[in-house]
Amino acid sequence: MHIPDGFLTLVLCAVMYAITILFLIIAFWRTNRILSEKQIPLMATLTAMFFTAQMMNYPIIGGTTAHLLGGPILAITLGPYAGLISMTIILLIQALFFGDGGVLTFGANVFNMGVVGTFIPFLVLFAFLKVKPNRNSLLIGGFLGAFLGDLGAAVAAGLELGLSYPTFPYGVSIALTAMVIHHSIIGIIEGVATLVILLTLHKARPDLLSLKRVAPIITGDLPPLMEGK
Amino acid sequence: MFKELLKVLGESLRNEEYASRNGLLQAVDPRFKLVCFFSLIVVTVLLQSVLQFLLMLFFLIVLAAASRIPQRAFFGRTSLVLVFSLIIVLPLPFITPGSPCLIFPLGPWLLILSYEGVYSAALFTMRVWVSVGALTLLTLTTRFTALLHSMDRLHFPKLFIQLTSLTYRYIFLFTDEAYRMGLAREARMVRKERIVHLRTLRTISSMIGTLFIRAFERGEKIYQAMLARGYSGETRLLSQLQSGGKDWGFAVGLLFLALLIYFAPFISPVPFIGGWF
Repeated sequence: MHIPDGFLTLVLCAVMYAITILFLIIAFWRTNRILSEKQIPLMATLTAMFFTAQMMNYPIIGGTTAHLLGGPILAITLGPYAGLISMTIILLIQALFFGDGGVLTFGANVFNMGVVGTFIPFLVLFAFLKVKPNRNSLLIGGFLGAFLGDLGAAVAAGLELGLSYPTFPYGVSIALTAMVIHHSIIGIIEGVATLVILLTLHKARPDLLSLKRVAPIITGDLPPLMEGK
Repeated sequence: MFKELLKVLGESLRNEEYASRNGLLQAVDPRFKLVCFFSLIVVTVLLQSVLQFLLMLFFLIVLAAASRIPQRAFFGRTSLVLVFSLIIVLPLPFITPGSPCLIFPLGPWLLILSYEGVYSAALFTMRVWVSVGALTLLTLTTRFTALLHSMDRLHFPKLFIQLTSLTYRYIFLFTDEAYRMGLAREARMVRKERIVHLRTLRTISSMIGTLFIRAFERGEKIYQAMLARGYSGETRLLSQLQSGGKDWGFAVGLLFLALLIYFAPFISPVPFIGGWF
């Protein structure tokens, strides 16, 4: 999912940078307004924790491995804009410190995993909780949101790669198909992982599921969870 | 699956060691390095022939040697993405139509590699490899904190810099914590799990859940500790970045050589033919 430098055309890199920076400006503006300085160390520890979680690989059948992206759970606990900032930091450290991803493709990577990968899970869960704010909606919405978020990020990456033809040697149809097939498996894993993490949080510290979230103005915060049947 | 965690700690220690060596790139102001290498990668992505990529690669190897980065570290870090891009371009020689350059008999069929396919595969692999090499050289010769510091001076948002530097500090703590949790889990297991993937997935996910709670609680404590030490929402840095003539000299030299490679096909006395050279 991390697109390295050299895969995308310069024009596309610039366009993706512009779109991502637009989202980041809104994200910083909203985060500065909603979160106080008290939440800064908290956001940092959670970001560091998901950085670590990304390094723990799940074995999938066939000898390949997949790892958690973390976008969905960040979006659910901190809100999509704060999740976007966290993902941006994770991707920056990965690119500049571990050489995972690139600097020219940074805008595209942040867009795929930070914007698409956090907003889709948030919106899906929002819809589920709007209909019925109980535990089951939280779990199903969390699973489906994480799955669709991962798939959405893969579609975005596939389109970017395909549109970079001939810099990237395959066109949209091949790039998109490959990314979607691969990530529908990874998406299920992301979904199950998100579900189990939500379950753990719900059981041990349900208050962590009702932190202050940096949510879009249009939707507002997630509907609060109703306990009991 | 927990071995990766240890590898990260080890690799970052080695990074610090390379970044503190007494070499050419280590002596350059990180702000200049950041901007220069960004431009260098832009130029690399624009190159059009395999020979230009080879020239650029040679240039990077010389820079690495002048910065006392071992060849093994440089190539080791870039090998993963090299293999990855080779796998991606593997079908290209067979599916690209064009003049055949190699024909293998394969039972009743003929396997035909087209010249155009091999060429575009080589071009793609070289472009990715050289751009990743340039980024690797930047990260191997610069401390992450120095990069952050220079981003701060280049007016990146304050909140972003603050969050990133805090995050960077806690990565190692959580990596260590996750490793200990994994070790404790393995110590409790009667036999090694092999096929039961779903259970592994469940265990790791609930471990991440626990880690999440610990991270949250730690975040609260850190804030209180910071408050006790006079934190007011702003970070003050002690070290000063200073740039001088040598940094300008480095920047001009690097960009001049990069542009020289870019314009090589137009100024070379020997004509560059067929895109390869």
